[in-house]
Amino acid sequence: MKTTHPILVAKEITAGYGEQVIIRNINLELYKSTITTIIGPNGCGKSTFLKSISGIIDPVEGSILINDIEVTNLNTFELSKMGLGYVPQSENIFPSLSVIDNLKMGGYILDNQKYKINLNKVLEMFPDLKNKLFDSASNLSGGQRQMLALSRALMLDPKIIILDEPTAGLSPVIVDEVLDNIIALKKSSITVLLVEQNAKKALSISDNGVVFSFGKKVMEDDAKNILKNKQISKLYLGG
Amino acid sequence: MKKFDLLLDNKILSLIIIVICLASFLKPWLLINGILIGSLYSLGSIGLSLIYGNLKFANMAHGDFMTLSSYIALTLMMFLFPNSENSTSVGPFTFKYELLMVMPLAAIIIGLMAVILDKLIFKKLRKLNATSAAIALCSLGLAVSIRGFIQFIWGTDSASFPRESKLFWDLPFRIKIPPDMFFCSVVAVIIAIIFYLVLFKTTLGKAIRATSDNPDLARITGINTDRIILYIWFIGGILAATAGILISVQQALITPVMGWKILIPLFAAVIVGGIGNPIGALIGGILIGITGELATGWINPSYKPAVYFFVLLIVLLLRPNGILGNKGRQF
Repeated sequence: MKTTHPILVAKEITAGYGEQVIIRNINLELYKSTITTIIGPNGCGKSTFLKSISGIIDPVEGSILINDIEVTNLNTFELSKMGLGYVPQSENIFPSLSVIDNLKMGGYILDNQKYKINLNKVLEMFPDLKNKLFDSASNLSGGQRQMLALSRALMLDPKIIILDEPTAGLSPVIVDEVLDNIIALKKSSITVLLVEQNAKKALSISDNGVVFSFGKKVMEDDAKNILKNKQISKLYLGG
Repeated sequence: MKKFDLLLDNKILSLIIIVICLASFLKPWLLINGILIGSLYSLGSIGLSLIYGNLKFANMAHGDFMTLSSYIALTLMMFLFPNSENSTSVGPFTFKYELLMVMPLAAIIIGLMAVILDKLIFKKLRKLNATSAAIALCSLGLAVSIRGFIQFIWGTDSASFPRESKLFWDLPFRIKIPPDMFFCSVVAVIIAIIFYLVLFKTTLGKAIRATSDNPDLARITGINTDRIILYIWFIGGILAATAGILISVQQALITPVMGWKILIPLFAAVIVGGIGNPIGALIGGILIGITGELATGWINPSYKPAVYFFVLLIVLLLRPNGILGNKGRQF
């Protein structure tokens, strides 16, 4: 599936919070219509890496390119215009708004016609939201919130979507549903970068796997190979 | 235990409501005054609450924005309509038509000034990750500076808009309403309704609420939160200016400290209603207005600030997030 040219390149990314550096010299390339999953123990810097790519925190060193255009230190809202969508692990919806208004905010920069087209597209993908459109987003269940967060991010037709633990706290049935949605994203030509605690399940739907440890990338390979790797399996995939 | 708490809450609440009802029954004219004054507090507190809810700091300069707006409106009247002293007043009201013309202009000037001050001061503090307390202290410095500027330009004496004396409206139960007060309250309510519609029915309003909910998420979503913050300052400035001018009309007096003095009931109204909630600010303003006015029926009016804080204390003991604060921030 790999095309020859990467859609996103992260070069030598070093980042953290204030004086504290969490990740060091991380390199990663993402290719069109692929799913890449980052696994690793808690506190190894997976979420920090996602935040530095999506512009939430500025990298201390390194550069990020999307389609060969330098986007390092670009405003988050400008990155979203360039086709990068990000769904944080928690607080990923606007609780004081209704479901439809959350989606409206997702398409904030779209003109009315494009907004309507994208809204219909997103609701076809997540039909459960159709009956909840005028409910307050704060009243949704965990699974419905994830669907709303994902739908909101899809409103801008992203080329790349970054998901931080999209199945955290969800029941097994809902986890499978969310993973099915991620496969559907790939089928619609979206590149997915994923951090996931359900590492085995996530790797099973992924093309590539990346292993982080102590703020560094220690391994990158085909997801199937990572799943077969006994040492990785023992350390990070529960044996 | 929860049942007991609820019962206790209800008992205290019931007692407060009974006291207010009894006082209103005994002196209904104070209730009417309270509602009318409270609506003006509401208008001032909505702007204050908008900034508090979104930018997470108590803007101590809000009251001085209000004062400055009155002086700017007065100056505009003098420059644009030098003969306004001799012109006729509007219907049963004491103020002149010219005031209605300069009011929107003064409000826009204050709105733009608030935007410029954000760019010059508050944006820089946000970039430096200054704490809410530090930003609030900075706004206190700004408040004192604005007051100093007002005294330097317009002097320390009081002033008033050109006016013509008019009779109060006499109603049953010894209720006497100054027509200006009625006008100001109606305008305040209309502006509060317009603001509510902007906030809840327009895309801009929803973007303001989204930014208040989660600024990082709003940015990820494609919302230019820097621009939204400028809108917030502009709207907050306009609300402050309108409230300031209306209060000057209602009191027939403009003084350099009028905004600073009114800041106490405004903050009380914001906190009582629930920080960041426009409807809460409206309810809080009217509640503070009513209790403050009713209290003057039995105690010296100079103790009014103590009454505001007594109400504040009781409400916070019963509902720590304010009357409508339990649903989270609404802006």
